[in-house]
Amino acid sequence: MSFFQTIVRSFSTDEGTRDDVDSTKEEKGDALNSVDDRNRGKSDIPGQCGTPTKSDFDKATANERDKAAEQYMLELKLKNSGSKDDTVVGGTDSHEDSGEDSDLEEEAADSHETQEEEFYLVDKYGFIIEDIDGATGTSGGSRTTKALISEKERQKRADLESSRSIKWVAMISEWNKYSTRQKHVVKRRIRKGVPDAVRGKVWNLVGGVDDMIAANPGRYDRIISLSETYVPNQDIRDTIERDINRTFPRHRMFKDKGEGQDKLRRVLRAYSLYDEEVGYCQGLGFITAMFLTYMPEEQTFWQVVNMMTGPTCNMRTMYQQGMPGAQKALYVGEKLIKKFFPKLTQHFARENCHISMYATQWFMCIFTNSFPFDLVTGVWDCFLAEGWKIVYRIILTFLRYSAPRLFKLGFEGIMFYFKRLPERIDGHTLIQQAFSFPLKQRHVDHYERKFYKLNPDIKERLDEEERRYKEQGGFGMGKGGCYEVKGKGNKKGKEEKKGEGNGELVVREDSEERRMSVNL
Amino acid sequence: MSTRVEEEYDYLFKVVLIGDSGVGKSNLLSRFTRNEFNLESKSTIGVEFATKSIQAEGKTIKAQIWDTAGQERYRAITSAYYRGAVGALLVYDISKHGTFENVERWLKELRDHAEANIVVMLVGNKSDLKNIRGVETDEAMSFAEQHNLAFIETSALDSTGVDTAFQRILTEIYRLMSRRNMAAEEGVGGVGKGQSIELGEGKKGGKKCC
Repeated sequence: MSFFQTIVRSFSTDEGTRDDVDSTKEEKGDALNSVDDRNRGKSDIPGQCGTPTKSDFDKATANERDKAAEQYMLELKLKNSGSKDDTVVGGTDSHEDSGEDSDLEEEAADSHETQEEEFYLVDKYGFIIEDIDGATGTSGGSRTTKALISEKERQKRADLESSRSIKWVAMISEWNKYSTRQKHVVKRRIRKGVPDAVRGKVWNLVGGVDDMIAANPGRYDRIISLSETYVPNQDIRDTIERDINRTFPRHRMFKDKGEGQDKLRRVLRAYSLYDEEVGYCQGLGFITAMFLTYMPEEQTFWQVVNMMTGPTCNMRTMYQQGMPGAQKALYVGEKLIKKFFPKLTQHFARENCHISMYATQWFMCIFTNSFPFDLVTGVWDCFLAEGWKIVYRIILTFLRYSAPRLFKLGFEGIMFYFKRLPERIDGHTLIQQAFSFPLKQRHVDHYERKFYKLNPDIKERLDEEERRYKEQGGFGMGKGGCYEVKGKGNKKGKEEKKGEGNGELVVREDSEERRMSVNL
Repeated sequence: MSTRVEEEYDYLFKVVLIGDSGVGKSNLLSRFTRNEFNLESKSTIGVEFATKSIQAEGKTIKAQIWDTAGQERYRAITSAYYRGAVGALLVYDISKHGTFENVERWLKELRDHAEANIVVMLVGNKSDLKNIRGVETDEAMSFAEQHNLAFIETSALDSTGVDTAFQRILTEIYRLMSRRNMAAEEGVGGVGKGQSIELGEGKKGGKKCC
C-alpha cells in the first residue's frame, strides 16, 4: 500500500530557490486519504455523512489550506514497499487487494518505513507542478493560476477564503434552516465560491448525497461486489479501463496505479452497472475523478448519480447514445454566442470555426479536463446548485474576454487560441465576471425550445425517458428528500416545469437493483 | 505572397485520425506535429486540432489534422469532421485485436460520412509492443489490400513509421489531386495550385500563392 506524508515548505519562485520554513502536515492530502480509507470500509462511520464537527474542521482549517495556496507543497511521497508488495503491481490485482486491505492500511498509515522516496511539487489541488515558475499547463499538470496573479492578490484571496470558511461551517451546522428559509444566502455564498476546506461537504449537501446514501444503505458496496462478476458490456468495461490512467495523469491521486485509480475504477464500474443504458462515456471519468479529490468513494458514486440523473445537472443526456444533451448544449451555446456577439459570430463563420471544435470538451466535462481548478471548482459549486446557466455564462465570458484577440486571428489561430485558453485564465476573476454576464434563464430556455422544435425526435426520446423514470419511481426518499435539501432557491419551480413534480427526486430505479437481488 | 513564412504552402489537406479509444491517436498526432510523446496523456474528449507542413514532390503540403475521441458514441459529434477530409488515418493497436476487429465499423463510418474519394491508411500503432502483439502484420496487410487501403505499422512511442505514415498519406493525396487536376485541365473544373482542396466545414482556405 502506498501512502503519503506531505511536508509543507515554502519557496520563492521569483528567486527559484526553496527554503524549508515549516514542516506542517499538508492538510488536504492527509484529510482526504484518511477519510477515504475510513469510508472504504463497511460504511461503519455513519457520522461521515453528517455535519462536520468543529474538531473535524480544525483538522483542515481554511487557514492552512490557504497557506497551501500561497505556498507550494513539496510532497514527500513514501512508498512502503516492505511486506506489502502490491504498491507497484498491475491495476486489477491492487484493486482486489486495496478494498480488503483498507483497514490494514489505516493501521499502517502511521508507520513510516521509507524505502523509496519520490519528490514532486503539487499545487493546492494536488496537480503536479511541471514548471517551477508555476505556469499552468494544458498537459494536465498544475491547475492553479499562480503565474497570473500577484502575491498580494493571492494573499487577499486566501484571507477571504479563511473568513468565508468560518461562515460556511456555521451555515453547514444549520443547513436545514439555511436550505429552506435562507436559500438566498446559500445561493449568494455559493456564487462567491465555496471554500476548499468545506467544498466536498457542501457539494454533498447541495446534491442531497447524504440522503441518497441514507436511503440506499450498503447499495454501493453491493454494486461493487456485483461488478466483480457481472460484466454486461465488455466494451464499456474496456473503455473505462483505458481511461483510468488517462484521467488527471498529473494529479498525485491518479498518477500511479494505486488507491486513487482503484477508486476511480470502482466508481465508474459501479455507475456503469447502475445505469446500464449510459454505461460509461468518455468525459465522465474526469468529473468523477474531481469528485474523488473532494469526497470519499461512496459519496462520489452518489454524487455522480445526482449529477447524471438529477434535474439540475442532468448530465446523463450528454453521455447517452447519440449524445442528445451535447447536441442541445452545442446548439444553445452557438445561438447564445450569436445573440451576444453577433460580430464575432460573423468572424467565426467566415473562418469556418464551429462551436463544436472548441467547446465540445468544455461541455462534456464541464471544464474539468483542462481548465484551472479554481475555475473548475467554482463552476461546479454553482452548477451543482443552480444548473446549466453557469456553463453558458462561462463560455460567453471567455468570448467577451477573448474577442479582441479572436478578431485578429484566422481559423488556425482561433483553434490554437482556444487550445491555450486555460493557461491564460485567472479562474477566480473570470467566474466573478461570469455572474455579471447579462444572460437570463429565459434565453437558455428559449433556445432549448428552439432546439427541440428543430429536433422533435430528440425531444420525443427525452420525454419518453422522463416518463419511464417517473413510472419506475425514485429512491423513496419522499418529500424533503434530495431536492428539498438542495436548498437552491429557484429550483423547485424549474423542476415542476420539467415535469419532475413535487420537488421530489425522480430517478429511475435501475434494473440493476432487481438483478442484484437475484444474484446476491 | 504571404509575408509569414509558416503560412506558405501549396496545398492544404484536411486529415482525420480515427479508431478505437486508447489506440494512440493523440500521441501519433503529437509525435508527428511536435515530435512529442506523452506516456501520461489524457483521453481526448471531442476533437483536437493540429497542423504540420511537409514537402512532397517539390510542393509544400500543409496538413490540418483532426484528432477525434475514440468512443463510439462520440461519432454523433465527430462524424461531422469527416466531411471535407481528404485523408483518414484509421488507427488500431497491434497489441489489442479488438481494436483491429473494429476497423470494419470505422470504414463503414467513413463510407457513411466522408467523401467517397477519401484516402484511407490503416495504421497499426504501438509496434513497440512486439512481445504482446495481438494482430499479425500479415493479417492487417491482407485486410488492407482487400479493402484497398494503404497500410503501415507505427510506434508513436519510439517514432517508428510515424513520419512515414503521414508523409505517405499526404503524398498519396497530392498525387491523386494532381491526376485529377491534369484531367481537369483537359476537361472541366479542378483544383488549382495553392487552392485549398479541403471541402466542407472546418477549414479556412489556404493563402493563394499564385
